[in-house]
Parts: sequence; C-alpha cells; structure tokens
Amino acid sequence: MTNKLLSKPRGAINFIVYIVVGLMLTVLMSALSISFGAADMRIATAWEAIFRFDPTLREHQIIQTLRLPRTVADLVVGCSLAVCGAIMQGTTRNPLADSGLMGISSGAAFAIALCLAFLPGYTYGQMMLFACLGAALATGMTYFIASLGKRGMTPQRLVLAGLSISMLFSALSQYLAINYNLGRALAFWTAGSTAGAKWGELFLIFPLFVGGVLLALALSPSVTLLSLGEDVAGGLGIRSGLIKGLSTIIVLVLTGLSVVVVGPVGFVGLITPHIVRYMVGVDYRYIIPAAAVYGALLTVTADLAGRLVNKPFETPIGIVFSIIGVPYFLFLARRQRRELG
Amino acid sequence: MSKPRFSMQRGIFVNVLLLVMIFAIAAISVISGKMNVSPIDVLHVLLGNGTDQQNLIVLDFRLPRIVLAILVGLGMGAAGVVMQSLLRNDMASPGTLGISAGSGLFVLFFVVYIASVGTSSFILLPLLAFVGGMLAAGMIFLLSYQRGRAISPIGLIMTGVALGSGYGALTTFLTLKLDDSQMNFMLRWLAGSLWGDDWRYIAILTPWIFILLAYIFYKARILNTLNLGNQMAEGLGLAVKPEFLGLSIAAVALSSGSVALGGSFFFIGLIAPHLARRLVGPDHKLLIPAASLTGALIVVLADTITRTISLGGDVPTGIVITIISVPYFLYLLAKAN
Repeated sequence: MTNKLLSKPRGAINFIVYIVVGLMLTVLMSALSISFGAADMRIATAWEAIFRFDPTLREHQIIQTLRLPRTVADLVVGCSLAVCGAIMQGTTRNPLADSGLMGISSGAAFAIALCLAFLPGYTYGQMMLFACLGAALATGMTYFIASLGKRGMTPQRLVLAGLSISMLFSALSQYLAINYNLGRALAFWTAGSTAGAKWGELFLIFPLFVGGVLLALALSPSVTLLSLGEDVAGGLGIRSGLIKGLSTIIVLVLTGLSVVVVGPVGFVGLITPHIVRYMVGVDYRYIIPAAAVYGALLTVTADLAGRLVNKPFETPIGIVFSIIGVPYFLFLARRQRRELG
Repeated sequence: MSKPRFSMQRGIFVNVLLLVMIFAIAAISVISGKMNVSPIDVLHVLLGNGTDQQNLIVLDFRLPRIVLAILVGLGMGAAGVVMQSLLRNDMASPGTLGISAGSGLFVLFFVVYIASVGTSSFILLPLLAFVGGMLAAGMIFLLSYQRGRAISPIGLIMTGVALGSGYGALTTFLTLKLDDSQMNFMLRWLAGSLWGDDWRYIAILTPWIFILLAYIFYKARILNTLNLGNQMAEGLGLAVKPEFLGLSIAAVALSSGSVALGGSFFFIGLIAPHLARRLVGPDHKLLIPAASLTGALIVVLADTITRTISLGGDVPTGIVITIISVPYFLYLLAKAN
C-alpha cells in the first residue's frame, strides 16, 4: 500500500515543485531579512559581508553579529515549530494541535523563569535542559488530563486542558516574575523575539535541531499510518506506542529549543501544517518536510514584517503570528464544528 | 421516593452560612496582617476613637481591600453563573470566553495612553472595561454565529479561547511600551492584585455590583426557564431574545466592573457557580446568591491567606486563586461529557 502511494507520480511531482518553490522563497526572504532592518543595506553588501567578511566595515559587523544570526534563528525556530505541529496533528489526529495551545510553551517558559530566578550563573545548555523538562511536564499534564473522561480525547477537550495548564504555568511564572523582578526579561521572552540570537547559542542547539528534524522525517511514514487511526496503524504492523513515544521526544526537544531561542511563539505550528496540507495532501511523508520548509519561510517573513511595519520599533514575531493565527484558528474551529455537525 | 436533595430551606440555610463565613473571614482578615491590631482596637476604630496609626491601618488599608475582595468575588461569581446558564455550558465564564481579557485590554489601554490618574478615571476605568468586555462578547457572538443553526456552546468557547489569546498578544504588545513602574502595575493587575482598594473606587463599584445583582436575582425565574433550552422557553411564552440580551449585558457588566478594579481572576467565574450548584442545586433563586457568595468567600479567603502567610514578597491574590483552582477545573474537565 505504501508503495502504491509512493509511486503516485502527480503527488510526488507536486511535492517537489512546492518544496523547490518554498526553498527559493525562503532564500529570497532570508536575503531580504538580512538586508532590511533599522538600517537598510543593499543585498550586494549583505552578500559581501557573508562571503568576503571585512571586519573593518561597520555594515559587515552588523550583518555578521546581528542580522545573520537572527535570520538563522528564525529559520530554525520556524522549521522546528512547524514540524512539531505537523507531528502532533498527525499522531493525535487533532487538527487544532499546536505547541502554544497545548501549554507546552508556557511550561518551558516557566522552567526558564525558574532558571532566571534561582540559577543566576546558568549556562545555555542548562537552560535548554530546563526548557525541555518544563515542556515535558506541561505536555504530560495536558495529554493526561485531556485523555481522562468517558469519551477520551476530543480536540475541544485538548484545547481546554491546554488552556488551563497554560494558565497554571503562567500564574507560576508571574509569581516568580513579581518576586524576583523578572518582569521585563520575561515580557520580552513571552512576546517572542529573535532579536537577541547569538552565534554561540545557535551552534549549541544546532545538533539537536538537525537531529530532531531528521528523526521527524524518518518517522513520517509511520505518522501517516497513525493518522489513519490507531487500529488501522496497529493492523498494518505499526507499534503505535513506540512511534508516539519517539514523536513526543521530538516535540519536546524542538519546542524546548525554540522556546530557548525566541520564547513561546504560538500558531506557527498550528497554521503551517494546514497550509501545507492544501498543497501536498494528507500524506505526512510530504507534509512534514514541506511544513519544515514553509514554517521557516513563514517565520522569516513574519519577523521581517514585524521589523518593517512599525519602524524603528520592532513588533515581536509572537505578536505577528497571533495576529495571523487567531483568525485562522477561528476558521479551523468553525469548519471542524461543521464537519462534526 | 425520598426527600428531594435540594430544598428551599436547605438552600437558604447554605446561603446564610456562606454570608456568616464571609463576615467571619473578613473579621479575621481585619485583625491579621503585618501590623498587629487587636479585635478591641478594631472596635475602637469603628466606633471612631482609635489612634491615628490604627485608623490608618484599618480604615485606609485593610477594610477597603476586604470590601473590594468581596465585591470582586460577588461580581465574578454572579457573572459566571449567568453565563453558564445562558449558554447551558459548564465551561462558560468571563475567563474562558475571553470577556475579561477584552476588558483587560481596555484597562491596559487606559494605563498606557490616558494614565494621568485624575478624578475622571474613577468613572472612566470601569466604563472602559465595560466597553472592552461588551466588544469582546459581541465579537464572540458574531464570529460563532452561523446562519440557520443554533449557536453551539462549545463553538462559543473555542471562539472565546482564540480571541482570548489574540487579546493576550495585544496585551503583551502594549506591555512592551511600558516603563518599569507601569510594567509592575500591569503584571500585578494581570495576576489579579485587587489594586483598586481606595474608597473612591469602591464607592463606584458598590452600586454597580449591587444594582446588577438585584437585576439578575429579579430575573432568576427567567434564568430557570431559559435553562430548559431556548425552544422550551419560547414554548412557555418567554420572550427569549430580549431576556437573553439583557442578561448577557448584565453579566458582562458585572465581570468588567470586577476586572477593572480587581484584576483578572480567571477562574472565580468558573469555579464559584460549580461549587454553588453542588451546595444548593439548580434553582437560580438560590443559585445566584450562593454563587456570588461563594465567589466572594474564595476571594476574601485567598486574599487573607496571601496577606498573612508570607509567600516571599507581596503576591497578587489572583495567582493563589489560579494555582488552587486549576486542579478543580481539570477535575471538572475530566468529568464533563
């Protein structure tokens, strides 16, 4: 059966076209993101700064130390969150799954607040670990609570459980923020901004990022089968427990690293897989790589838009995404209701 | 058949008991805190012959705060019970529907752009919160309205959750523009800090809350009928649309008054009606006072706890309430069908 799906030429060609277009757009937007900002530069200057770096030029310095890491961070985060969203939507068969809505991000943010308050001499690696643990705790709680009850996990129940877990963790973060005077630091964190990204941090998370995405790609055939329902997947010889466990680990690592880089950014993980589904269909072997590409594209674009809309002030990407994401969520929730009748 | 589980006598008894408990906790709250004031001192102050220091502590710090806590709790509890009955959904509340977030956005707007706190702000602030809450309610209604079919309660709540996170983003956006003292105020307000403990604010909030409570209590019979379902209510000869509209405006007004001066208490409007229903049953004549009183009791209790037990610094009351109520909410969620 999988072979038949694979050999379907139209789907594959479609997929390749969309991926190539997506990659080209991503490169273009990244180039724009490097050259536009508080101080505009020509793309040629950006090009030179990357490939023939001259430390005496101030413009080259700006690009090398500020713009380039920021753009890379956008790409990494967008890619991670979109892949997470796709995996969660596939394995839970829930169209409204998103790491922001599930309270995962607020769990990670709480862990970071703990870190800021009690471990003044934290290293980046420790913070990363904490963020992942916080994310794990919140995910575990949300899923556990949503799956209690007679009818099991419904999308609505998952959203409400996620909401209350978010409330709990943000109350705890607020407590820490007020007591330890972290208000400002945390507010910038929760708004979600890649402005502070540094090369050292990016190098640290890079192996995790690559590992997570590769594992996600490797799992994608099984996710497709799981998305048909657990009974079907079991009948086709998929060990759904193992796949779910692995995909949860991917989600935790990728969410944790994005929270460390930008703070909790909602809605990327929700929107991207839906957009991608319009393009490449319902097969997760296509959805996951396409989501990776388009998630990166969306985030770079959103960050660029946030920088240009209200110059010279920046609008954090978290907010740009909420502005796009809320109407989209409403649309999805509405359509889902119509399908349920 | 045995005796009915909920009788009128029992309900009245429970309500009186709640009232007594509120007074008892308020009394404990007045005499406890960082500065020691004995019950006899409080009596002296109330009779008008306390020392200056005692007057200051009791009349300017503790009493207004306790009164505010009671008012906020009353408002949130009543708003919650009306919303749950109108929508016939256990998960409805000013918090989950995003209505208090809408009010909050307008309060923040006020803090950022109009913040010269003059005399006009005492009236302007609750009014702005009301406008924000009404706008939020209107948007939820518009967005979940689908031609030719009844509005589904779960749809309303999903819309509320989504809009709530949108307001949250805008709130964060505005927060970034604040200076440090505004920022501090904002954080505390968001967490539910009962900040408006000034007699001038209370003088406005008290009639606001009590008039609306009286209106809702007067409509208790209508809420009972509406609770049977809109069609049934119509069949029984009730003008559903105007009653629905009037009651929802009253609920939004109640919650926005509380939100403006108390801060956002996300869970009170959700938890208080549930507890009340367990105590007195589904009859709104008993349920409305019971839910309001339960709300007031929770807020006063939480406030007394935060003021007397040092949790390391001055913790907003709302945080304590949230941390206590999340498990209960989750229990409800797990049990709900």
